Amino acid sequence: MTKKKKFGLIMTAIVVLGIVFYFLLPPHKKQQLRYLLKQAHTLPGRYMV
Amino acid sequence: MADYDAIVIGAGLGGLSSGALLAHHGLKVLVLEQSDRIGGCCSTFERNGYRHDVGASIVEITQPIETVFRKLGTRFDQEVELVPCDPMFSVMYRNGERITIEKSIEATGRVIASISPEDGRRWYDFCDYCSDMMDVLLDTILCSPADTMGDMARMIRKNPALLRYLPTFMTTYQDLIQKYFKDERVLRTMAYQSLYMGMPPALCPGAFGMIPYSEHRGIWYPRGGMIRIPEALLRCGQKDGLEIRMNSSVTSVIVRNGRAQGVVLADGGEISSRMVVSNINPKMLYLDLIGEENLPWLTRSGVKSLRYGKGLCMIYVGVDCKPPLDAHHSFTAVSMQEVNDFWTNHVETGVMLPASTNYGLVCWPSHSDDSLAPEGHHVINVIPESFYHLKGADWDTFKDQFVEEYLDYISEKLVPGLKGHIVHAIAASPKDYERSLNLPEGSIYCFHQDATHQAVFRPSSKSKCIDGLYLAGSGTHPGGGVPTTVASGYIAFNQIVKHERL
Repeated sequence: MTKKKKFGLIMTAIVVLGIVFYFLLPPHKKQQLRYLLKQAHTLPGRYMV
Repeated sequence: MADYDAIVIGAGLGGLSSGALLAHHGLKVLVLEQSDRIGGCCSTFERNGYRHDVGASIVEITQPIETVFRKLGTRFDQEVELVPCDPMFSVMYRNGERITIEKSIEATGRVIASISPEDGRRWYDFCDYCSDMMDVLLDTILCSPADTMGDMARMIRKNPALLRYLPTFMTTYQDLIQKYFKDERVLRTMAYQSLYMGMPPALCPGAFGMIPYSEHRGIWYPRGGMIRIPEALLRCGQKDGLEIRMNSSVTSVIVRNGRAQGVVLADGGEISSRMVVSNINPKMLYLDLIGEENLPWLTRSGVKSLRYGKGLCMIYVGVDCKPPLDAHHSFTAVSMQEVNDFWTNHVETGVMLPASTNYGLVCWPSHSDDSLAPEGHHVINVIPESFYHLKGADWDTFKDQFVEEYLDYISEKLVPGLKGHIVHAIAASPKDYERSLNLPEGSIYCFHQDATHQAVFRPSSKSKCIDGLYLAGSGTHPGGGVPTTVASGYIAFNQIVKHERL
């Protein structure tokens, strides 16, 4: 197996596990996770204020 | 030579506490207030002989306030007459049933045990956990600057127990409460309190899960109204020479060579100072009073990304009878999911929850202080759940209908017969607060109080891009609320003493 294929397989596995993990979360944790992910990109800027 | 050592913009709790402390430290201080009343959201106004509180309705976790008054050479309970609120609150179920919660931890344990013996037993474990967490947070986060990671490290060095509780800021209010309580009826007595931080249980950090416990350390009402707290701070400051100018709007902060050196007033006048303390919304401060062109790009994007908290709608009611309520605070029993759904289905979409399924807080200040209304009369402040951005509607046209429907609903389901005894009802929408108090989007907590708007991610008490500029108030650490806003003034004062080498 080439390095590229191996990397692709690992990434696919991470994404699949992430999706499974998300669907196993209780509703309020899904809501929190969605909110935090939406806000994540703003944190470096907010740290500088 | 500058006109003043320090100019404080805004006479809210943060501005007055920092101003009074600076004056006590020997500085020449001027406070500029845009309105004709001090206190901001912690204030009181009179109409037809009834005294209504503008926003804040009680004071609890008084340690930061006591610290400030001690530093001013006096005592909080000496300056303000505090009336204990006991019973603390009543939970109103929609079927008419009510549960009254007293200050005593044991009495509350018995009430919970009568609903669920298992949860009643866990109540004491919950109190032990929250008591320790509260002491640690009071010793660290609530009285120290949290501008940088270095500040956070210093807090941990001061009290390593903080490491135990920092992870709770990444969990949720709901996680903490549901760890201890399982019965749905018990959970309904604790869901609403997450909104004291302006966030639903799914987004409110787990550390605030201590609120159902912290109230048991005591909640108080200042006799004469909430304005007595800012009045006391102003009185102490004036004894030390603090000056205040009412109806004085600031249009810009003078920045020269990267340092704040005074302000420009709406009438065009300039006042110079060695430093400036801002008690106004940090987003307005940086974008309007300083100008985004004067900010580094990352700071500019950070300021713009800050999201305002949920807007406040409040109905100030005067009644000609003793209302059928049980405590200073009464709130609707709601499930965690109901409050979470309000956020996703209504706040984020702009579609208002109909009055008949809305919920909220009914505050009865004259239960604690009968001087607030004419003899035999009472004042009630009703707070339904609301938000600023309405889809396809405007608060100025929507307000009257919404208020009428909500008063009909609570008069029928929660406070029987209330409507027949109303002498006057004054409604204030988020838009009204925006105009009168200079609160963007009517948000009394300024920004959200979730993990991404806390501590190092909330605007710093010492500006990171302009020297000589310090921030106090709900828009900076440790956030919105009466004790925390006073704490922000104390933190700003300490930062000034440290960085200006006073």
